[in-house]
Amino acid sequence: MADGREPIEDDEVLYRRIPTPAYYDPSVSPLPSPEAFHPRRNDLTGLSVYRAKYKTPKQVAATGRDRSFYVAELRAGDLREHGIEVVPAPLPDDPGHAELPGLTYAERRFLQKHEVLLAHKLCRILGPYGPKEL
Amino acid sequence: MTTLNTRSFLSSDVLSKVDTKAATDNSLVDIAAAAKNRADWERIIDRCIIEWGKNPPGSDEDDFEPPARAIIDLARDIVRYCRDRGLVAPQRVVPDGTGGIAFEFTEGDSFTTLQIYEDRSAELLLFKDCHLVERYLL
Repeated sequence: MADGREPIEDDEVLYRRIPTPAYYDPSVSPLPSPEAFHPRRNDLTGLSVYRAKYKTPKQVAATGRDRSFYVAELRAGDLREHGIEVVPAPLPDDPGHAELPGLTYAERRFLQKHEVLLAHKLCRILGPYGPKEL
Repeated sequence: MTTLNTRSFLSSDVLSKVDTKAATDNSLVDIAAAAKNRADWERIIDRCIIEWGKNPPGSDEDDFEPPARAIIDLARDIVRYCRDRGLVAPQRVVPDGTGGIAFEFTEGDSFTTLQIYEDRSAELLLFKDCHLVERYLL
């Protein structure tokens, strides 16, 4: 049985929660803010994403939260075609956790072109999903 | 804004008879655009700068770092500067989650972001079809 350490195939779908409502408002723009892909203080080894083979977008949106979130859907092969690597990074309680190791907190000031690519070309927005929909 | 240049429908004879000192179509458009830009910047001052000064923007994420007061003050100064020069307002102003603020401008396949970082430095980055074409340290 898979434990999350198996390589990520190019046709695998990945999800990332849009972390702040301000980063995606369809009444403002059909595209999310690139800041939705800006590494934060805890992204020391890479930006977190979740593998669709382990989690639904609703689960990614609502984990531990009590309000609605949008989710960005990405495809591993699309990321790699644009030079963005994605690797498995399973956690004890979350085998579907993966990371984009090129997008780290330490490098955050030099990643704007990747953030714009992810937000404006490589993702599709799903949702919103709230905890009541689980 | 789309406008009709009515003067192009008039012959020179007629035009010479109806010519006045009144504002031209283009100058009226300029005035309207300037008023809209100013109103857009005022909205940013009200909704972001003043509001964030009272309650720094937050997030449910544990590692979200809101902008400090000094960064919000710097953003306010930039907003006033741009407003007073009639510049086009950004589509979005958002915290970057690491203590900075980003002003985002989109027009067609062009995307421009003015980034204020947590150490008060600032950069302007211009993208065309997702390619970084220009970058200025401010």
